[in-house]
Amino acid sequence: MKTKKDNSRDIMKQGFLKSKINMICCIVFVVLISSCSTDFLDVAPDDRIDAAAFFSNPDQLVFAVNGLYASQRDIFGDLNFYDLIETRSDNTKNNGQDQKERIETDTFEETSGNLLLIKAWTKNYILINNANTIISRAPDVSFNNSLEELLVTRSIGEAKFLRAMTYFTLVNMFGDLPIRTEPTNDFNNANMARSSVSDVYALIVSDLNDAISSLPDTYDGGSFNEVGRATKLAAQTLLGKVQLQQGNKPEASSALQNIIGRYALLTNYADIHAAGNDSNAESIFDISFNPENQTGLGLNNFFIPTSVAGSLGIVAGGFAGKLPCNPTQDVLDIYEDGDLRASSSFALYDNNGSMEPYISKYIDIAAAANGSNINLVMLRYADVLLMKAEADGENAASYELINQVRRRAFGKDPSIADFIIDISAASSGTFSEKVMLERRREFLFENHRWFDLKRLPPSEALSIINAHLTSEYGDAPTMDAHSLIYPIPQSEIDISDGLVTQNPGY
Amino acid sequence: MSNKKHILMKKQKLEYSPNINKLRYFVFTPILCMIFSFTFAQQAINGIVLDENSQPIPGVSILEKGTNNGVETDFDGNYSMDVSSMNSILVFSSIGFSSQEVAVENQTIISVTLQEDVSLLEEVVVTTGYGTKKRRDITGSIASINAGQIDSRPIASVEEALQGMVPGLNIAQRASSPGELGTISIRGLGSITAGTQPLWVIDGFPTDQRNAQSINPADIKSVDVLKDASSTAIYGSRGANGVIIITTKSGIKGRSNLNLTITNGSASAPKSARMTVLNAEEYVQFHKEKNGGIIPDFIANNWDGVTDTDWQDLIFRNGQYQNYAISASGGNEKVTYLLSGNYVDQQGIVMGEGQKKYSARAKVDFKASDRVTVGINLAPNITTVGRKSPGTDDSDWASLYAQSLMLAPILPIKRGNGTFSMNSDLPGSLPVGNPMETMQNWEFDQSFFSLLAGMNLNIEITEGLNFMSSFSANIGTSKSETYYLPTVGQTVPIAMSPVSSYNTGQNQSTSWLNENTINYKKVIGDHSFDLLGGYTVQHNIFESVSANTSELKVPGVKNVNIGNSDNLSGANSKNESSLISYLGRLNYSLKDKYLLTATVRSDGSSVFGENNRTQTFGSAALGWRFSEESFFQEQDLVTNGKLRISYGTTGSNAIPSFASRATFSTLEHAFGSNAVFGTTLGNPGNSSLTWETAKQLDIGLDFGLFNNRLNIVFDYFNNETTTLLLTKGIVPSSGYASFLTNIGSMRNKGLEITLNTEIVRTEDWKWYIGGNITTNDQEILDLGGEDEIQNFFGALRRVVGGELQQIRGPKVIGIARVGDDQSAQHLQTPGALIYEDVNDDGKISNFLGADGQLVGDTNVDLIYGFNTNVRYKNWELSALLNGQSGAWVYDFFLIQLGASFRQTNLSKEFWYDGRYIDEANPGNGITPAADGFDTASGPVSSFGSVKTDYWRIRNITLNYDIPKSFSDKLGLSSAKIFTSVENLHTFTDFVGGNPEARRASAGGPSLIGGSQIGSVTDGRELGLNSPPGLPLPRTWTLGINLNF
Repeated sequence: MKTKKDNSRDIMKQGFLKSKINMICCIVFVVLISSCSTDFLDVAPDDRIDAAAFFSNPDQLVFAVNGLYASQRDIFGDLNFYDLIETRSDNTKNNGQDQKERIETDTFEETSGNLLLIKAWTKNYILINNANTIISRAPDVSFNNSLEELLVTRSIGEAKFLRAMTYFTLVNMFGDLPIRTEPTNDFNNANMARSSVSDVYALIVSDLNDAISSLPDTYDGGSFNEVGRATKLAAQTLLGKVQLQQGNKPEASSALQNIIGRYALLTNYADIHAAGNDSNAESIFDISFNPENQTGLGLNNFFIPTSVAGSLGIVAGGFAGKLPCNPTQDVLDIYEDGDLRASSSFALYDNNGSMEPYISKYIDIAAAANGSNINLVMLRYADVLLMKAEADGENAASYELINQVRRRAFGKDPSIADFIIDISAASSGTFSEKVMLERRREFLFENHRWFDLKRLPPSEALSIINAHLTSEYGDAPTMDAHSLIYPIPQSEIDISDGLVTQNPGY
Repeated sequence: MSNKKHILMKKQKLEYSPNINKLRYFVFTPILCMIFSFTFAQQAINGIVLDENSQPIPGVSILEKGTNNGVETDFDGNYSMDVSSMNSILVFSSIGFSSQEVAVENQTIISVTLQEDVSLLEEVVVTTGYGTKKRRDITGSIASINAGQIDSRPIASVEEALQGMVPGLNIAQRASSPGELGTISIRGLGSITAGTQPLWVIDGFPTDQRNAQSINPADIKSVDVLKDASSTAIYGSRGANGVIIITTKSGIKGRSNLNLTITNGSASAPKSARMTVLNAEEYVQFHKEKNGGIIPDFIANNWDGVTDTDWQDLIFRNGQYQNYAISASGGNEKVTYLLSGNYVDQQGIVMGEGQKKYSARAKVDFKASDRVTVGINLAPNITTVGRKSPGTDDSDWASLYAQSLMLAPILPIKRGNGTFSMNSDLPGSLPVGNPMETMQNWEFDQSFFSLLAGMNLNIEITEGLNFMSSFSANIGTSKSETYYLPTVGQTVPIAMSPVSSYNTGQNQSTSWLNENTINYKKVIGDHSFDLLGGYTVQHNIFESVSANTSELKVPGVKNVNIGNSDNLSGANSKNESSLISYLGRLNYSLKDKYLLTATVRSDGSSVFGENNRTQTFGSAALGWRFSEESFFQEQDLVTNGKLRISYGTTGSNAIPSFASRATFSTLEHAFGSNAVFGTTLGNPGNSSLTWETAKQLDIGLDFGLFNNRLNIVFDYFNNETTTLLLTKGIVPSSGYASFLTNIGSMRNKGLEITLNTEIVRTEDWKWYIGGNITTNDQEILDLGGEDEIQNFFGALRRVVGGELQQIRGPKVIGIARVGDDQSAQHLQTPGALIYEDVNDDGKISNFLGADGQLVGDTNVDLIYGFNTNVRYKNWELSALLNGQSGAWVYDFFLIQLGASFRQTNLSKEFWYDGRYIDEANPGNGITPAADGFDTASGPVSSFGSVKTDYWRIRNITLNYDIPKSFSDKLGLSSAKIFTSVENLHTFTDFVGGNPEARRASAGGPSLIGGSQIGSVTDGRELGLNSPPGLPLPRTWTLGINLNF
């Protein structure tokens, strides 16, 4: 403000300052004006994490990776997401009186504006953007010693593992995807077209190979090395699953071979999801829920009727209305007598006089307002055995892998052949049918079925779904191939001004 | 020294030119003054004559009544004269002021303050921000009210004083519990997400509404409302929503005064203002009809046939109102002072609600020399607010009022076993809590402390050149506590916790301001200049901390460690901002006829992105006092006339301090039982974020007719706000849902008309009428390329071409009758609501679908106020009315909470009276049958979209001035008694409660699964009423005012 300085000078020059006070004031005024600087306007927050100053050391990188695990918990712990994956399959059905969006995804009537899809898409891409941020900024994080260096390398590996897992979910739900590998910084130019499914898989495979080379086999459990983080074995298992999903059976088999013998089947099937039985001998990768830390599982409240919760003595939990998510009649009938997996997965309750089934797989008697202490097991040894069998095709060794899983299901020692329980080439059905059936029994309500069906020839998958819809709803529309992937959320298409295209059929 | 000599010297002084040795003058004047006061003889009298703003009035004629003995005041308002007797009466008179008579009565110093004649509005001094001006010289649009319009009313804060009095100013009392803030806007809401609040300036300190509310109304000298760019541009980046300047009273030299005002009264919720709900008989009848003519089991098994509880009667009460204000003021040549204290105890109309305010003010000006004045102004305030339930403002279900409306009348207060009954006693019913139980178990207390303190230094450098510097600080703290102890073993009421809980929170705001201005006034012939230049710096810090716990182990102890340690949680936040400004203003007038005002302010604000932190705002205005033109002098109808045109830009920086900065937020996670700390990308930030800019045009016309006994002011305004701060959608695959940016524009345009007339003016009778009307036409011009923004699940929308918020849903077109073909409708029974099938597809969609249409606009299109004042001798009766029309609200309470498909009680007027019963009793054709409401289309439809038009008898006051002869005997200089009623009655079709009530905003737009932009409002409060607002209290008071 030059003019005012000049002004003050003029005033002085004119010499009518009769009083010293006047002069002092003018000096104060001039000093005040000149002392201000733009620093005064640069006010940084100190009550929150300013992004500009973050990632100054490897610990902060680990915090951001922890955030990815937390986001994953938020995705898979959400009923809406469960609805898109498990309820979409023939294992469960909606009660028909639920939120419109959840009914529509169950009956294959959803539109591209369905809120569940937008949420699922957004949450998964939020995780991807966070992973991208870690992967892109980690190389610049300075470290002081080899331990810290290891943290940096490992963080990139974990971020890539979680990014791969997220893209794997998305590509199975939506098909072609915008492949984002860099953090979003320019909001005015954020649109990106979709790339092919095979390109997405190429990224997933490359991420998993990077993860395999940078992740440890196990964690020692100390701070920053908590058991439950992604391991090399988890990455190899996921790689096997990804290859199998693409139909690359030899690659799947060889990836899964690394895991054989590294884990074991738990003696008791019900223990896999028992409260507090985290990271158990069968589990390769869990999503961790823990009520003590305000991160308990709440999803299962929707499965358990209030009356059951009350009779079991569960303090908080249980769903008072019509359960939004119920076992189908069809799935109740797939178990043979003596198969303990049935009683560990569902049960019946008295719904005003009629006995109806509910999902009983995830029950924590001690659950309180903070939720249940039950982890969602994403990758487990039984899956490895069944995937390996599927990858290797029909042979005696494959039947042995399947039978190990079956024997445990009937309470037997998995390693000892049992002529009553064991199946073989002589058992009825095709090999594929047998594997699929065993998978359905083993992983009931565990988010596997929908993606498993997608490995079948589309016509087979569709006939299964059509049969399911007809039996549950009677007049359900007939599905065609487009139904095997969801519509791209309309907001993605609208905001990108059509750069992002819709899947055919929607 | 003899008295005569003093007088001589003083007279001599008048003849000195300013160049004469000033030192003597400086030193002697005060000494002389002091000596005067000790040694004056009986027949000599002197003093000073001031106007209401404590400015000396030169040329006032002073006449000893009944004689020819008279003098005039000098340039500084001083006079001295000899009178013939100590019983004489002096008559003070001057053009533009009401004349005043004062009895000498042994006084030697008689200083008076002349009241400006109301009919001469043009002479009133208006505070313009960084200065004052006579109204005649104003080129902008500024409305003012003064102390006289506030004093006798039982109001606890300035907001209530302004409602209905100022054109263009809309004050809605959203929540009528004591201590709640009103929602204020000037000339419509000019922003979608950023603040719409005007800037409050208290004695020069720019601050917020909470501070303004804490001011003792008795301390207020004037309130000036700056509305157009010409007036507000001097406040630059904070001026876009208008500026309200509050000036407090000061001491007057030579005039000691002790003023005491006591007001006592009582407030209640008249039945006419409450929502009428069904009594037991009606309730049973309604449910019987709904159940096909058979009394349903839940009633048969639970009603004793007698119980009929009026739950509202149980929660409403007569709330006591007490207000004690005392002030002492006075001064001499060196020092003037004002000391005041105020205590207000205002009980709410609902049990347990109330506020207490304690405030004080010390304002002292010290004239260090003839050219240097130092002033200090300290105003501490403590306010405590309490209630016994979650507030009506933030709880749909659990406020006492909501509970009292919904709880079935067939339930007794207590069950046979002595426990409180609840709606859940009726099987299948919503567990609405019992207000008596809530009242017993819930405590909410809040206390505020604020201190506004300022020092200023004023130096007259030379004739007309003034330097002023001030340093002031505003320190405020607030503390709140919520304590809840549910009855053991009872069913958990809806919206209440099953376990006991305690929450305590405190926040502190510290703000300091330094302002330095130079003002130069000069008259050269026909040219008059008034130049202002200045530099200001302001810094604000707001910090808060809170802690919560639950499952209290030792009930009654308010300590967070008493709860279950697992449930202990805490939070804190800090917001900080800085503002640096340079300002300048030129006022120029030529021949007193042609006026020009040019204003510029350059602001640098820390809250914006680093690329966009400084901006310059400015305005220019022209005025033409055409009544001064010679061709106008020949008629005498129009005695005053002025045309004003102003145009300029102002800004709005009302966004959270750090919205422009990207942040990481925290996420909890645990591997097994090992808790770990996690982070995730939070606020996306935007380094280019900048101000909303308002471009404002104002064309005004002032008329004074019939010797200025009729004054009319017209103003046309057209305000366009551009670069709106809006969240813009971004492809979700980016990892964000939206970010805050500057896009879009909207406009408010309208007309303000103010009319004031003095119909009767005789010795004994005076009758004055005033009124104002403001229209506002609001339109969203652009939403950054979007056609609309949805909120509240799409039931509320902002649409280009529409008002700021629209309500969307299917439109009800009637009630189904027997024989109608209603195959498209969800309910096809006679008596059901029929909706319009807009797209003729044979189906009725809900509000999101094709049959959704605009069913209500939320902008207030018209506001008006009307006041009148009749004076006969010592009696004065005044009345104030105000009203509004054109705004709709979606009454979610009527439809969703107190709805016919539930077993809660419901609005008699909305659901019961005039309902369809059968073909013989088809009702009013508007209200459906008891079972005629369809929940598939019904959730949001035109049925729940209701008009909020009202007009209200806001205040009636009767004043009696105790005759001078009587008050003299009591040793009082004046005294008056007054009685007043506030909110006597509201005329409205709105169903129940307060038509101005709206839902509090639910906070910022939540990004799905991700971050949230804190405290950016989503505007939901514009369109949604749920729960219903409490009726405004009707307050009767009786008061007395004594001047010693």
